[in-house]
Amino acid sequence: MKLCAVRWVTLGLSCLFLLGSCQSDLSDPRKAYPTASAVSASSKHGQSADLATLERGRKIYTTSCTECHVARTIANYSVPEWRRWIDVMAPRAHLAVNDRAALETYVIGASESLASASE
Amino acid sequence: MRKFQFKPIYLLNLCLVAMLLFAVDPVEAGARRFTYVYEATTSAPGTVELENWVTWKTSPSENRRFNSVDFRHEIEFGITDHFQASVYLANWGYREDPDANEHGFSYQSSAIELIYNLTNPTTDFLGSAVYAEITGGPEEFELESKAILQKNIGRFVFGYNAVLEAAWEGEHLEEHGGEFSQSFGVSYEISPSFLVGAELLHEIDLPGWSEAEDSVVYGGPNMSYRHGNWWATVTPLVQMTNIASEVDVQTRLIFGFSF
Repeated sequence: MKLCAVRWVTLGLSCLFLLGSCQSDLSDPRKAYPTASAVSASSKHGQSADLATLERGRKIYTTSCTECHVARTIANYSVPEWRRWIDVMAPRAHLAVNDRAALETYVIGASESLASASE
Repeated sequence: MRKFQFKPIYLLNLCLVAMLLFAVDPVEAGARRFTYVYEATTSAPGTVELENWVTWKTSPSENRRFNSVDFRHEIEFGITDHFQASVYLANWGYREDPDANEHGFSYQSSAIELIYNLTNPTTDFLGSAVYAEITGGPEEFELESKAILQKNIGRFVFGYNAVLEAAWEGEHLEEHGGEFSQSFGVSYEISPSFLVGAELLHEIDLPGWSEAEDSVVYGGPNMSYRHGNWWATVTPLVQMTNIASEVDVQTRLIFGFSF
């Protein structure tokens, strides 16, 4: 069986874009992992934190955490559940004290922000 | 008493046992979901990881008996949020090829690999990265470049690599040629510790850069397990085309440890 390289490239790329275009609202990164400014503007926890800390927290959530597993949709867990998960996962990711605090600030703020948006 | 005969499969078993023995520290490690497909994400700055590769290739048919087990030992360094560098300390292996009259172990090469992440698969529409590798050995010199794409949808991760490789081989590096290959993988995260999926590999040899040989396509399942500071991913691939000059089955195991 002879297969043409161009056909395979086209097939591979088409599959990726097809999958990308079928994604649900929950896997839309802007909705699943709100930006630091969105969290700051719409949650009590986020308003009390500075923007740089929230940005740092979001970066850790979307890079360090995803080294080992896919990012969990923040809206799928409550604030107490997130606190428990951060207690479990932060030591496994070797997070420094400041990074852990930034991650917690962002995740709790984003969870509140998404909960208030869905009400 | 039967005389002991060394077989490549014993090395695979030894590696698996060693991997289990070192599984003591309850800390997660940056881990790979695929063995033939690279992901667009890079290691966090300051992290160091040891990755060991074992690739077993075989053609058990009577027409062409062939067996090889190749090993790579890689140390990976996270340099910045978007950049990682790796050193392949040694690429070596065992080869049993009666047609080429080759039997035994040999050191093949060492290499340097650089990966630069362009977009994040978690926060951007599509994750992407570029890859460069320079390999040098007693009888080979290779330059390899990859375009890496990654799409995450829920617990599914899809990866695609397009690879172009230029190689110079022989005592005086007189033979030159290239290879174009592509790989596609999908992985589903059953739990943070256990992932399953499949990979496809498509290769075209370009001898002398003057002609393209027949396309060869491999496909098969993959499985990844992470525990403590180590992880392991294995992919057995079966040739889905019917190219007699290429191996029928290849299996790759990668196991890594973070420090």
